[in-house]
Amino acid sequence: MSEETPAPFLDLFRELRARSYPLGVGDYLAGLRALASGVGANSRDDLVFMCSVMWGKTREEQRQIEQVLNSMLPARLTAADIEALAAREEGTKARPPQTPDAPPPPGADADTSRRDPATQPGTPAPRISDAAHAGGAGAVLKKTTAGGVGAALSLAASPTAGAEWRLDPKLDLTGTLPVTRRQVRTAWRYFRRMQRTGAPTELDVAATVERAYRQGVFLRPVLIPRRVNLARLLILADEGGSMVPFRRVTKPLLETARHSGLALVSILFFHDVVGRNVFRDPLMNEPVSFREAVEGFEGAGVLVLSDAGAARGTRDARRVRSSARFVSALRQVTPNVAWINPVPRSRWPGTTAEDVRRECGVRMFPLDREGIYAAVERLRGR
Amino acid sequence: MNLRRYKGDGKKYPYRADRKLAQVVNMSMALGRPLLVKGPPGCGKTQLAHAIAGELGLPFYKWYVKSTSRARDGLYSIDMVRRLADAQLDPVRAQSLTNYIDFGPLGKALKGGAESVVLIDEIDKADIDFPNDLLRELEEKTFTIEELKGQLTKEEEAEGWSVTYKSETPPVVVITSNDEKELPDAFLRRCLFYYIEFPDSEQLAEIVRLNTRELELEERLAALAIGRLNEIRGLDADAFRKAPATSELLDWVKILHHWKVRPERLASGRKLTELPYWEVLFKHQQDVQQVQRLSEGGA
Repeated sequence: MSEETPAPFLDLFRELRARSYPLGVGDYLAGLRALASGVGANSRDDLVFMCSVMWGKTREEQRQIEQVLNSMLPARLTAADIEALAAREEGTKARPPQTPDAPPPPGADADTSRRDPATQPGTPAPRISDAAHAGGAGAVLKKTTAGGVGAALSLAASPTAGAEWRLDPKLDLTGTLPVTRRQVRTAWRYFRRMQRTGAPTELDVAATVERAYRQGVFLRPVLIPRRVNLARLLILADEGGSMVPFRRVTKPLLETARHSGLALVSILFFHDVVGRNVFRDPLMNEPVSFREAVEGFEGAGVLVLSDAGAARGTRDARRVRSSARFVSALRQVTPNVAWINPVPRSRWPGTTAEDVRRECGVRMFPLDREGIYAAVERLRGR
Repeated sequence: MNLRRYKGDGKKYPYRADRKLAQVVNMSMALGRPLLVKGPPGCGKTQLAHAIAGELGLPFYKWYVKSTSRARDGLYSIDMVRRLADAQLDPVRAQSLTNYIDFGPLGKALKGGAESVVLIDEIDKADIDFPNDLLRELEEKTFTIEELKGQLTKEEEAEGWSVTYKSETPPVVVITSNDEKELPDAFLRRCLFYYIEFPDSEQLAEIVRLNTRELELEERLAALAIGRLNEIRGLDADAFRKAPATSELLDWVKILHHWKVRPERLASGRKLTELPYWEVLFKHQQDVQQVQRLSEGGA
């Protein structure tokens, strides 16, 4: 483990993995190669930049990675330090990095967890929010890894015992959304309904040979249309009021849907319950009748994005009734209706959401990775 | 290890890359990973690949992706229909499949053996599975012509034909995307990603200077033109369907120079619609109308 052979670069890598960046061994090895090649070895900024470019695949991710690294690396880092870092890493290169999910050896936390918060020039808060997210075993390990960086770079470590797990008021929520943009994007990719359509452009080899055989001579090829994804998606998104706190999660969901490359994507907005009209814009200036909105979506997938009253934490019989009317109207358009509720599932019981779910017989999914995957399956009619 | 260094200083090729961009290009070469660049239109995504090839003096292969492009098209294509037709008219020629194989840009780069630069332009135009179909080729720098398995004669092998091609010196691969579609995760994992910001005034001046070397352009004219361009771009992010970018600026400056417009006519006191040849900056009728509206409103 890291405390036997200090491998600070590995620790940086592990810390990012622990924050659910989808990095693999290949990424780590690429990092080592980049270090060895000297492209990132001139200054602290270069090092941070190198890691962010290599491991972050969107601008937001790159910024977040820069934040994490800036808070983990010592404030002063000379070119010689980085060279030493690369050299030290050489010794540990042969061992593949262990996954952060692996349980830590017994006693590992006892001697290393101490030195952590004060060694970091930045805020230690992100790690705490992370710990809450990842659970006990992962949290302990992350603490050891963070300690490893400080130790390996021989930073002045002043132990601050006991204070580690206090929830920090500066709690950082950036790295721990229940679902990342990348995960949603991947989920949309599973929404497929392939059919051959459009102009015939593809050669049907079997049919061509068959025809040449029957006619005794090859005259012209048999062409067929290409297979394209015909999946259509209508999203009805609750907007304003109780949905506002969830924008950070719902926005990527809507944006990725819009750019998902599906045959037809329409996103319409409503407030609390769907009445006669829905709206083309989130500010609800452009009304469009419900009937018009669902036109062309017969048999398509319809996703409702709403807290269904769970955010208020109360029961509202009227809301249940109008939701039931809305869902049954939807059912006449398509059987493939899924409901995503951004309020955590544990808070549905005892609220309108629970009733909506039961009374309307609609499948309601939480807004996390599994929930979105399950909802997409539902949209496909499975 | 690759010893080439891309500087991007604009000396050998009229393209100025900032320090970070040059560093990413060098990382991409050192790691042998494709470089995915995104950024607003006109920030120089496509030009980057031209610049790398130009500065380092490497062969350059361009692959402009279309909505109907398939991954294999970039490697090779086989004209099966022609072969089927030839089977009746020219049976001798039709015997050999190699007569019907045509290599695509990536295929040429990988089989060429020498170092090269490959541009895969606007990868997001193709089907969403397109990038995934290129994973092996981009990662292992190798590709296989399945149809040639067991088909090659001794003579053809002597001519250099082979079922599998592997590049010993991996090409520098630059991929651009306009974010029309999201790219698959597995593909992103294998790329380095860099976002090119729209150039600031200083960089714009440099771009104009590098691209108008042969003209004896008045420096003040370019500076004023850039000032007015920034003014238009600063109006409202969503005001235009296509806000004027670098290529429009270059066109405009060249026209201004060609018609010998005096720099005073670009001075900041004037309305946008009074600028000489300002229409060159726009590509859509509605944008032209928008400028007229904004210009009237601001008067």
